[in-house]
Amino acid sequence: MTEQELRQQVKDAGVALLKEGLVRGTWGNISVRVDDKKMIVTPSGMDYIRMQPEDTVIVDIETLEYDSPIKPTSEKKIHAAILRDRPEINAVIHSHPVWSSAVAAARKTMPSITERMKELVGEDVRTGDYGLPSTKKLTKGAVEALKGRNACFLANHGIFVCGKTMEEAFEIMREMEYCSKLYIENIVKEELGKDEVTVDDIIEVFYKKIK
Amino acid sequence: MKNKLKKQILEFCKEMEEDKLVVLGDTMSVRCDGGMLITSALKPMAEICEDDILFVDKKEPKDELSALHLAIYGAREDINAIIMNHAPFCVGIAKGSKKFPACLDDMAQIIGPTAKVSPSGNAADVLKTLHGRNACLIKNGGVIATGRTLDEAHTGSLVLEKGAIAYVGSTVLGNPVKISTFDALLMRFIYKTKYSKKDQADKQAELKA
Repeated sequence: MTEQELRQQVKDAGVALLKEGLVRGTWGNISVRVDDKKMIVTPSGMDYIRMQPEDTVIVDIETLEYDSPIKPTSEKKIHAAILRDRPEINAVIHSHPVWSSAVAAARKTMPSITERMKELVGEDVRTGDYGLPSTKKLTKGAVEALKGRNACFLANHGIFVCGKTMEEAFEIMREMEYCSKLYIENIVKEELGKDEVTVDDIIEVFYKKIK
Repeated sequence: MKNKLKKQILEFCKEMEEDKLVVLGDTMSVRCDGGMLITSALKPMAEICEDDILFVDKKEPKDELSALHLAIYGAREDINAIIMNHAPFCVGIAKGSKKFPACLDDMAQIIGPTAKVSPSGNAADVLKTLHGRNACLIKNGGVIATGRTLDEAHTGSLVLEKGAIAYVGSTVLGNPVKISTFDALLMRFIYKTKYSKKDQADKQAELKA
């Protein structure tokens, strides 16, 4: 793929995240590998609708240097660290979808909920250590938690997924959000002995637990 | 500017309805020329048209609801937009809790370290509960989300509901982890003074252009 096509791919993935409800309120960030030395990342503080393909930024995977008046995402460190650690990976997506974020707030390791999740992601999904945005601690936690898997939660923050292609990374994001919701709903089903759950059912179990 | 604001209000009415965060009776307003533009509470947000957006002078509230919007603008110079909504998980929390903590970074940044529940919908209670924050819940009621722009009030509505889902969901999973007050206040300071400042200033300038 040409550099222009890769920039477009990043833009399209951002818009698709928005359309599928996989970003909510805040934006997250996306990267794609250009070659061994470079990646293309989303810009800092710009939403995926306003962002044009040319607003994406080429960043050196080793040095994090970039030659652009547009500032790259502040989470470029994590994207670069994942691409350095995982040569087979070409696309990384970070987002804060609703249900994945809820599991991240519980700092749990989520077992595979569906066969599809097992195929796409691995046996389970761990949560990286808590760290403030853009810190080394956050980067280290994400890289460690992602080892041997294609997804990890970031404690109290959101989720990182990666894939050989952008399509694969996107599918993993979609499956992780589906499974995260199911993970919580399964507990509610068990507690209330129901096959289907509503918001009121989840709230009922919530009040039981905080009593 | 009024026409631009009305168009923007219509866009966000549609989005709030698509996000399933509003019920009949919810309203949205924007500070404007010595008063505010506010949507009618008599129509679902999805059906609001330009004629349903009224200008209300700050000295002449039309009813209790518009008086509450004006009281918030009167007390908080930093607020230029208000969205009242009934986001389902926030409503669930507002039935039986006094507040809920930020379990997610984006809630800490955009809303604050906690979201508090006002004991009633009267202006004095709401202003006290909203102090130092961008949003609050109302006991047995809904949500008041505010912002420097309508865009920020909309984002606040989404982030608060996501924060509520994270708190409820992580409690169901048996381990809700709150963000420490220090980290939450630090992130909120950086968000307000650095991260979002230019974006919000650009959005305000676009409306004035």
